[in-house]
Amino acid sequence: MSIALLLPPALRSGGTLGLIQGAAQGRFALQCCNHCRCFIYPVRDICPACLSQHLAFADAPTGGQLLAETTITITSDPFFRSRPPVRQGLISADCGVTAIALLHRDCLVEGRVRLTLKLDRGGMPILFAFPEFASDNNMSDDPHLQDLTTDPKGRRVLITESAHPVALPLARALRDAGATEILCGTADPSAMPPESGVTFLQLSAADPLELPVPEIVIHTPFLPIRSDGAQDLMQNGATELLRLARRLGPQIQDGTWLSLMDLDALLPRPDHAEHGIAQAALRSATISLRGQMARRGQRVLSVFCGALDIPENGHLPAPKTAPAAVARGVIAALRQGIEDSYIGSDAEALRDMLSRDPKAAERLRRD
Amino acid sequence: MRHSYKDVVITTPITVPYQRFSPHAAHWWAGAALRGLAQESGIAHSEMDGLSIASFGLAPDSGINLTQHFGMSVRHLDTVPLGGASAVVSLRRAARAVQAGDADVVACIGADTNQPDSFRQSLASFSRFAQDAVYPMGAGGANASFALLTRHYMQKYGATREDFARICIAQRDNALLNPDALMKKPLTLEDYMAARAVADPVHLFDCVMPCAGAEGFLVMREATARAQGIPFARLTAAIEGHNQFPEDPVQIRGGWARDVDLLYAMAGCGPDGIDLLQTYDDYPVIVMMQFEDLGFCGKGEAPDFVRSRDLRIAGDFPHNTSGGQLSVGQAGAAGGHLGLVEALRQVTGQAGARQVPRARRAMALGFGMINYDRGLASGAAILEAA
Repeated sequence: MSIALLLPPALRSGGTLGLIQGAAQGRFALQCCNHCRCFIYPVRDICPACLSQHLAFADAPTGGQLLAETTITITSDPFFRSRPPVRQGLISADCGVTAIALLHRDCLVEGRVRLTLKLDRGGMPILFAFPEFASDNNMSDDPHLQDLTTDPKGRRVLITESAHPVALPLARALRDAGATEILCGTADPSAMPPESGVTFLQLSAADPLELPVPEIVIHTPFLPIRSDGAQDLMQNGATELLRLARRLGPQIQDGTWLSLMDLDALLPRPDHAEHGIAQAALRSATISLRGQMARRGQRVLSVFCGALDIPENGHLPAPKTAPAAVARGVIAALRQGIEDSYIGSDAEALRDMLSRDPKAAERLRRD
Repeated sequence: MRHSYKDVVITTPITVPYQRFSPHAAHWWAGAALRGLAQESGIAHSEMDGLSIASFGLAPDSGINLTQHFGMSVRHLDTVPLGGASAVVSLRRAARAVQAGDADVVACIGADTNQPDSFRQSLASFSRFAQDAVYPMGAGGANASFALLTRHYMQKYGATREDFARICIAQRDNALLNPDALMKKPLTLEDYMAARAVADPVHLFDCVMPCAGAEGFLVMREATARAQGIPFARLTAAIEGHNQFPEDPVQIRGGWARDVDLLYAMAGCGPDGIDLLQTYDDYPVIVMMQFEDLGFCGKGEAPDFVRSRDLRIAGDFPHNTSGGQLSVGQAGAAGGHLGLVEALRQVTGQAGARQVPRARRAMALGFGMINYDRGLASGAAILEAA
């Protein structure tokens, strides 16, 4: 049994933890002075330009100019010693700061770059620079980018429940993205119409250890909104996630877990309390799992999707999100290493309102 | 014009021979330097009324704890956390304290130990910015930071690896005359060029070897030195500067450039009046910047300078005559004291086989504290034979 126990350097100051929020959403949000509006990096306790202490994090322009670069072949850090040499660059960022970042292998000497904030295998923020323009289709093959992201290309993926409206579109999207094998849990595999590249199996009855070990586990519990039994919903959602993690987690090396959730996981609606409880429990289990898995160098992603454009939701007002769009969002989350994704305009609106005014969001949340 | 350091002298160059690894604490090494200072000067440590200490390895202690640890009762106490710039800064502060009568004899010591894995730990938590924004990006430590500065310098001024080799090879030649140097074998251009990359363009022989060791000197009034009958040198000029030129996108100069004219005005000479130079040499690129910033050549001209000058003890530009940190080793914060102690040895005629003939005026430089993308602390001192 091999377990990725080596983790990247984890020590960060309290202020620098503020970079995680933007990084988790795939945004390049740096510290910014509320008084003089200058961007600040590395994170400080006071603005070096005006000495204001009213500092926040704000989306910054991502462009930059690579001034100098090196390839670090000798390091005393055990994690980086276990990796290929790291390319590091000194970048004059368009937002005014000087950035020391990991460089994608395709960054050109003294060329333009695009800066991103990523989360490393321990969940800590780092800077990663891409070339300003993507050079070819193999960008994801960069060895250090692979530590920050999980491109489905060439990987075995487990989708836990085919009954979720997103599951089959997601299986097709994963196949199109180059996943080598897609396993999909279902109540009755013989009842499923054949789907190229997808193997249906009865996951709930099987010991997960008898499965080929997946590298990506996408938990898609089907939690119907109109249900009276919170217990059953929680069993299918949170409890099943933890069961799979306990059985499969130690087997998987460099794996990624992803939970597909409804907006009720973030904020429940008044008349669907049981569904809200189950979704909140799934979110809670996902966050716990993230902490557990970070110790093993595995990442755990959350995807929150808005109301799906499916027949059961015919009574709901717009906006609604096509299952295929959610599938694309899941692929993007994996490829970019986005820890918290919000798919659909209603999901984005709720995300923004929860960060701005959670009590107003509570009053406005309706069925 | 600043006040002169009239009547202040520097004496008693002490080097506690370096070791690659040591089981002892930094306190042990600092204490050994203090014992050397007392023995060589004839002044008991209990009679010294000033202590200035630079070390990365004293935690949780600082200078105040050392007074009791060492049995000293002092009037001037300084803990100087400036890495490679510590020696010059200790000297400046001690000199003013002695000059003002706040203290009579100040022991200035740089000391560190090197235990297996202590170097990695010190890299990971060297500074808050390093911990937050440098170390997680590949854990290259100072090697990577200087690799970026070196690459940029090469791109901007056309320096080549062969140019850096000239500095390293000349210092190795000098080190062969220094029994305390950890590097004992000659270095050839072939060796240098074939060395493995550490963080390109920085290769193995561009890097110092971390080790354990200590350096020390005393600062006192001239009358005190004469009464003790010990050789001494005068401090004629000194500058320091921290976080200078933050507007430079990449570091191409140190803080010396800001006050270099003041330095020479105080010393009453120009660059051609310096008989030997001790630069801070943790990496050869920073040596080149010092040649330029202290006026031995123009900005960007150091590659040509090293091609045309002989940097060895017997050469036309004696430089880092002990072998420097590149060949002696870098004993943490003692590294910044190595050049100053060697300069003191040279102008007081105590350098033995390494003695530069007619060495009357020496310059010693300090540089330290890569906080994020550049070294922040710079210092320079000029010593003159009495």
